[in-house]
Amino acid sequence: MRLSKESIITFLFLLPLYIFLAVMIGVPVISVFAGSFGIPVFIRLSPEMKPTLEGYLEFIDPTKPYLESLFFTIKISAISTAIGVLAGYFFALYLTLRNPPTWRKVSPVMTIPLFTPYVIGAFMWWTLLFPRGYVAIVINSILMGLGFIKEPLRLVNDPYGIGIVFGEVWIRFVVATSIMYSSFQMVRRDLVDAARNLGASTWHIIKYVYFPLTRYALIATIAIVFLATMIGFSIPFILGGSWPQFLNVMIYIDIVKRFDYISGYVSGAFYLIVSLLLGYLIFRFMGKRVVLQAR
Amino acid sequence: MDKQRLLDILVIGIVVVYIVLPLFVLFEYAFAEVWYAYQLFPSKLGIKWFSWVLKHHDTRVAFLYSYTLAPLTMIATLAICIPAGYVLGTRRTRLTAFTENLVNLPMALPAIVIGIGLLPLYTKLGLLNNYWALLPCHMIGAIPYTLRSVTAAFIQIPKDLEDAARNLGATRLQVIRKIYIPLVWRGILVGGIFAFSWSLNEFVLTLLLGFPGVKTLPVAIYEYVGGYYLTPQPAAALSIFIVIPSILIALLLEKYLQISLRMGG
Repeated sequence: MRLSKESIITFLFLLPLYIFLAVMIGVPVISVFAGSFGIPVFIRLSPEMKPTLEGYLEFIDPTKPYLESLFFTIKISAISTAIGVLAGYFFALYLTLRNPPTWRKVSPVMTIPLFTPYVIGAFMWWTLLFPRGYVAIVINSILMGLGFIKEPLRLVNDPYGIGIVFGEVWIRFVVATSIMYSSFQMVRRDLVDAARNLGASTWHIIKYVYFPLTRYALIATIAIVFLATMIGFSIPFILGGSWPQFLNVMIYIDIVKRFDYISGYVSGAFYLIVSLLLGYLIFRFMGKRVVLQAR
Repeated sequence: MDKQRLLDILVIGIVVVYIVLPLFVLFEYAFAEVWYAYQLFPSKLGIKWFSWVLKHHDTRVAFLYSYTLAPLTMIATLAICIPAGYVLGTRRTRLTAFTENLVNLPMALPAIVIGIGLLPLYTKLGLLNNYWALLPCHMIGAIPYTLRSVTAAFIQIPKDLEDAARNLGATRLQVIRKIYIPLVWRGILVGGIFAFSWSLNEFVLTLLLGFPGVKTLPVAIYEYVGGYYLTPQPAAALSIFIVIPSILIALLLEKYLQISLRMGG
């Protein structure tokens, strides 16, 4: 088979990208999967690295910290996603229905969380949530005033992940709002007008027009936000407690502090599988969103 | 004022305060020269912490590393993305569709996992704590966004223009240089700015593969907030040096290049 000149040129233009992805993405993925079975790639990072399933057995052993860390990661990511997406969904819906003139003047503030580095975002929330922080003072005063608590709650570096949720929701709310707003804008205006002319209330229009036509966008947003929260490192690293920890913080500690490479790679392999599955869901539903709403 | 307008102001006010409050506190810490534990607000403002951080050799080097790596990342990312974007934006084949999906992969992979996966390769090649070796690390996250922006710019150019030029005897390079580049520079610039901004903010891979030999600003900030003792004032002062350029970049993109990140505006 002879390749046409056009195909060769296409391939040559893409070649630098392929080489880059092969080295900077392909190699790490292979290293992590091989390393999780104790098979060294390029170099034996520790003398303990020999072919073994020990890492996986340790990962699923309930007496070891990994499963607890995995569940904590999933739980906190799910809570942050639920709050961020719900708030973002309703705020985007509100903007679509009301189109308030005030918003046009202040909307650039939404770029702040998107362009603020996570490590700085986490630090900013730390200053708000530590015992003398404004948010901590307000929340603790309210809860103590209502008699729910006797002592101030610890809202950052806490064992419940409260600080992580605060930090994540600040960023994810904006992401969810922006995706959902663009999806609401794709809903055909004549459908909304027709429903209104037929006497539908705003609630009915939301229930029977906006919600069904943006359901795939909503699923994709949930997947995007959940994935981004789950793979995020800086926020749980800075706002998380000493225990339980996010799985990616565990990976960092295993590799950098404990030099336990196999455990780090096993956790990494779990992350890769979950991330790829969620990534697949995102692309699938984002495609459906466009198809459905363009109809 | 009618009830609806009041509701608008209330809802939008809550959202704006929620978004801006962390930034306000960052500025408070950065400019607070005297702030007693029993006070809600600082009692004296000034630039003491800015001069304090700038006096430190480590911080000055972190500045140098951050603000040289960012333009280098931008150039290297564009060098890969412009030819690839040209092909992806002007041809629809199975290979280009596959490539588009492949390029999105780094967005779905945790940076920490990429970092630990690169560790054996970097150790073997002696690239740990190496300034130049951080360049491809900073490009990993930048490439999907830059390529998307460059590809979108190429897609908008009518194919007839290239065909006409080729029929009149122009070479492929001439077509790119004389037809495409003048028409797609805006998309390329936006892609470059994304790469610059990404590099400026990159933290995880630098911490894992560059630290302690190469310390960029985000890593220097982490040292003040994530170590055993916490010093918020210098961390806040240093953060200002990244947050202000990042937000300016966002606003400039929006104002001059019509890359709207606004909603409802």
